[in-house]
Amino acid sequence: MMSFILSSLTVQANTLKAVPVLKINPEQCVALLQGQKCYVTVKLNWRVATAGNYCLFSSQGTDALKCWTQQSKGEFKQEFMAKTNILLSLKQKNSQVTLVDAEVKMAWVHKKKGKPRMSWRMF
Amino acid sequence: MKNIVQPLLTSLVSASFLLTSPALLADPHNEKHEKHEKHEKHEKHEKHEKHEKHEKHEKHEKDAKHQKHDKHKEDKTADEHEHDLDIDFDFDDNPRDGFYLGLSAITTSGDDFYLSDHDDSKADFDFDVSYRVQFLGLFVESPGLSSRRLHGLYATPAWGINFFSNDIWSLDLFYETSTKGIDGLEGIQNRRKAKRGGLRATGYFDNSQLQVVFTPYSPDNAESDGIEASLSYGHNWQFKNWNYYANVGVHYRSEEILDYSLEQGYIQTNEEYSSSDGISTSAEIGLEYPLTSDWVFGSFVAYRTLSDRVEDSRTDDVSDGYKAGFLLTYVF
Repeated sequence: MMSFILSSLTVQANTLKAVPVLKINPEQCVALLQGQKCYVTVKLNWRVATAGNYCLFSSQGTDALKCWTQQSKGEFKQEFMAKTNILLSLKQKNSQVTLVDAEVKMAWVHKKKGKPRMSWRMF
Repeated sequence: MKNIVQPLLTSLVSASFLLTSPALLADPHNEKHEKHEKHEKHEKHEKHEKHEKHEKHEKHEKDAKHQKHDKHKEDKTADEHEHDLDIDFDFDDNPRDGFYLGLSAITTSGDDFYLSDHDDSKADFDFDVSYRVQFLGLFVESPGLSSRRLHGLYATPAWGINFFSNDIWSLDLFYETSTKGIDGLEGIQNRRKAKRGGLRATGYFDNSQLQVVFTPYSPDNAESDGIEASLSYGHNWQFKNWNYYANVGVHYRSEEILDYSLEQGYIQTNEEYSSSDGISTSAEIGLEYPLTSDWVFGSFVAYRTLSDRVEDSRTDDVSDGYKAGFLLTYVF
């Protein structure tokens, strides 16, 4: 019984380990006004099951932000300027298939041009 | 916090309405939803146009009206890409309809025109509530230091009607509910005896704001109503996520309008001081930083000159004053 539980836990752990992980911090960029450029320094960690050649891309461009050779995990830090959400994705080198991605979302405090923060809605 | 506050506010205002917060707008699904909605509208619009060619003139007019409504809905969607339900009851075309509420903790230091020595070097602490509620063009508002970009430099607590509003200009007929001014700047504001009403035009541009206020009406002024007018301009700059602003303004008060003494309140003998009209000026610089989508840190320095007539009415030689401070605001 005990060996079954242990083997089951091992399988679960291996499954979790096999899932690619991409963690970002912070997950949100806050500007004062809607539509303003938002500046955020994003720290990123990724991990995959098998070592290989991987590259990190953002939705802001086609070129890789950084590539790693024969690695199964990595770290990255960069300041971004954006008006829309930034999608960060990890791909195998020379592949278009996204292994894992994460998004930095844009938020703001005030609407632009003096409009009220909340609008009336009826349901 | 928002999850608790929004239902509370909703029940306070009306059981029939929902409030949509921009903090929720960052959801990427909303952007996709917006694109999808626009795409659908575009397809519908194309079909609609083909259909129009075969319709009678009467029907054409009806459709044109419908198209205008669709265009408005599309414009609204660009700002309000969070939808609680698909049904959107469109009250009118006024883009200023809505709700703003900000709570600020303010600490200030500087001068006070209403103290005998004019010097108020000790730090003051205020808790300020600023709001604006507008529904079907009717509004009630109480401006604060944290809502300069919504209310303008010379706004006072008031109610009124926003009778014209487009993407840039907003025209209000308003009547003051108080002459107290706004918290944090009490000591350097030119107060007067009576409440006033009039016309206000505010232009909201990309990085600036222009406001003209004209008040020819006062129900309880001593004799004639007199005229009060102001012109103010504000400009915003951005460095990283810090926002800097500078506001300048000039304010005119005619002879008939009686000033207010905070020490003594209004007394009849003050009327003799109002022997001429007067012009005062204002300038403010400040910065704001969004800590989160709800919390904003701010700092400011405000400068005011007294008009000649107020200077003449004083026994000291004070002609100007300043206030500086910090504020932390929670925006609902």
